[in-house]
Amino acid sequence: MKISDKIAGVIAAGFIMLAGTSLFAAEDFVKSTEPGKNGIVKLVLRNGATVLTKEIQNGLVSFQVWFRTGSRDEEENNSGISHFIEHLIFKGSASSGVSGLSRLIEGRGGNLNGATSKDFTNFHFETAKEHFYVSLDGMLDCLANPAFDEKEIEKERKVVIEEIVRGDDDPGRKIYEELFKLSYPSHPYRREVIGTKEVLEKLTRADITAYYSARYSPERMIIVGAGDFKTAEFVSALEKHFPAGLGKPLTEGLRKKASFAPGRKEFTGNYGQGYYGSAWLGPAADNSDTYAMDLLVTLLGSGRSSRLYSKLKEKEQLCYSLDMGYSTMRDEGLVYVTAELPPDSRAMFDKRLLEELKDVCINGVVEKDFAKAKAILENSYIFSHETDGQMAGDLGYNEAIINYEFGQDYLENVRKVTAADLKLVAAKYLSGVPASVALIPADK
Amino acid sequence: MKKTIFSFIVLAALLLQPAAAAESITLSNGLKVILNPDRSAGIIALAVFVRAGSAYETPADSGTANLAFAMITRGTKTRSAEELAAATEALGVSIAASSGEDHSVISMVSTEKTFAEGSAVLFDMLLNPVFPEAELSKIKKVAISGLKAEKDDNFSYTLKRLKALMFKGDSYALDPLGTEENIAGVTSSVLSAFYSRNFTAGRICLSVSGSFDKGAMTALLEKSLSVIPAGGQFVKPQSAASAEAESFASEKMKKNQAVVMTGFFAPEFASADYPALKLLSSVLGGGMSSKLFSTLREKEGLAYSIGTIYPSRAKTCAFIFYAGTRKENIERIKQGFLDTAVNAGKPGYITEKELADAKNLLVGQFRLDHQTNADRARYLGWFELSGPGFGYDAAYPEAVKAVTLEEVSKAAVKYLVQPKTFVLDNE
Repeated sequence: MKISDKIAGVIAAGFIMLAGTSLFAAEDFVKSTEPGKNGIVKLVLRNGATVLTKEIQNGLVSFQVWFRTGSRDEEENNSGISHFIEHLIFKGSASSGVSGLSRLIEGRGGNLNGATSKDFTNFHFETAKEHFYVSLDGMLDCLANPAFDEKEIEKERKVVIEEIVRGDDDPGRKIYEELFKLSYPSHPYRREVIGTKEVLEKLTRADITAYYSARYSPERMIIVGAGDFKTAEFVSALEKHFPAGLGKPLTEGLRKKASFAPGRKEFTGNYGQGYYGSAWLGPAADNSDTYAMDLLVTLLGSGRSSRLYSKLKEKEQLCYSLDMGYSTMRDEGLVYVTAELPPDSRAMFDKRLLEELKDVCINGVVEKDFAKAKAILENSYIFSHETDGQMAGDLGYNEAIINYEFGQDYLENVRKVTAADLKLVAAKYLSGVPASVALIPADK
Repeated sequence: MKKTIFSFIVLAALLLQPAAAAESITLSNGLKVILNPDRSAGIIALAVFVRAGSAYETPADSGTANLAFAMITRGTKTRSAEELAAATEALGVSIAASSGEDHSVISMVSTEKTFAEGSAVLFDMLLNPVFPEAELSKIKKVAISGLKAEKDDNFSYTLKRLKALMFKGDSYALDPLGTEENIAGVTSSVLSAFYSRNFTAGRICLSVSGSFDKGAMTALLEKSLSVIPAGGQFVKPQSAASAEAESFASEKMKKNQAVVMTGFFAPEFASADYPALKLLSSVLGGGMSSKLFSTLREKEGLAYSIGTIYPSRAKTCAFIFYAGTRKENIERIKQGFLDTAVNAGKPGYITEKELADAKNLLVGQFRLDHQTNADRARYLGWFELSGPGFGYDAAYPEAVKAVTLEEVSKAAVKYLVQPKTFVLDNE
């Protein structure tokens, strides 16, 4: 950690000198500038958009745009529209033409992609620093002036329906989607990000343009740059893509409290083996239990010597694989255990899993396991913050669901958690009946 | 403070060229080591490449390497599987072993602080594995379940079937997981014999990238690993692939999606045609601006996943066109693949601009794919073991840039012939 602390110090010092020379864009573009931890700078533009930068002199740049809107913000009758919009953005702007953006960025050796989730929509590229600004202009042009060409919408509709069909064949994905559907009786997290074929077939160009102007607005926009550039130049480059003027303040509440429904569901199909998943409702990102939950999930299911893995898989051999996870989301996300197993050991797996969790709720965790979980979590954090893209992703994701400081203070907050906290968190979140889903091979 | 600033800038600049600082040393037993010091992240990644995998197996013993590498982390003379896992996990160090076709890898990622203890555990696994029967019986069950689950992944299942079709009589037709019968027959002593045959200095290459001192690392590796026996001369495997192979096969399954894959025989990594074929693959199917993506997906909307694969292999391999589609589009995709293969060699089909873009894409992706120490260690070891040597990691971008349009067209005419197709159809 020492080296990276020093690096962070160097970059922060460099930034302050630059700011002193007033290279910044006109004051009517930037509303506020706030140097943060680890060389990060946060700016809020007058139109409401947030800009986060981290300068790293390594010859590359990662550029990401995050919108605080995803399938969570959709309704039954437009389910999947955010994901469809994400696809259509890559179809180009009025002036760039179809494939113009990918040719622009890939033709210069960069890569680009997008992602839509329940809480956000994301667009990003990574490139060598010499191609950064031309790529940025291309991507922002597509976001500011998307063509949403009628013919392209028709073609892309077919592609997204293919994506839905493809997902239906994937047992791992089915377990995940069915767990969400079962766990949330009313919260929009219950709907699949990709939407349904029925809704997609009906979405019109007018639906798309109206939804885009309503939801993909500057006040929901987070622009992130991490890599080899200067913040002042970066901000100037953004200016021409945004019309002058003040943004609308966000009127909607940031949180929609989720309720949970336990239950069981089984699907029989043409599977090669059994698939299993159980889920409980975890803390939302703004809840300080989130750090203890990450540690608890690591202690129980991360690595071969973790508690559930070593007992249920290694000792008792009830499954072939076991994973435990917790989705830190804007509203209450799920804590889940998934496994691949022989269909006849499912009942025993289910029973033993609940026994182990009950034991943690009553007796807590062993100090040695707790120290190990901390070591695993801290190191995996370090290993997953090595590239520009990883760092930009951390800033954008956290700012989209809560705020970017969450990621910067994460390790510090994890270190404050005690073994006793894990027992409390287990009892609070994992003592109830879960939502459970199983896929069973038809020939068993 | 000034000194810190200076050293940071110099080291960061090295990142501009993939692993330009790498150099090789040879331990006293002949074991080749690639060292790539890089202090930018405080991380050390180490990869041990072994020339073992399904390419070296036969129908009678396929699956052995997969079990051997799954077992290498599960018991040494002095530590049980449980103790090994607990030891590395308590440090937060990750150690993973996996087996492929041309080679198998045991890799470790640690911080500078945990490297000494982590590598002591790793070296214990490398030098003293005992392949305990009780652990083996568990791993065999997992491998057999893996075989049964292969049909649950449309893409990998189709790829497996296409390879079986194309490489009949060659080891590339073999499933690295083996067969149920082979897996059942493997015992602890089979794995010990496999270990003695394969873990020799001549078959191993070790690469390290990250925050270390070259002298200290060299001394540590010499002290720890020079006991590995030198072993005999390594003999490169020969291809037994035949153009006479059947040209079409299909299987109907109860699925929503269909997958079409068309393969062509293509040369190994060390071939002079390799960079031209990499570019051809990039132009035809590498990314959102490729020919297949822009025609069959963007213009016709026939597929979601579509592209080409040209892997870097030790012997004759397959250049593959793939698409995930639906039953009613299978014929149009098949025809689209054949038309693209024929057109690829015609003058004017690929323009100078497209080639220049493909070069930028290939070189750019290569650079973006070198960002972590684990990536850099992986590339260096792999190039040394399966390709033209670790130096190719630095030379590759220039080799790509030197390719002409004529060479790409010639490669298309020469290799995109005698297509073999496998279709995963729907019932």
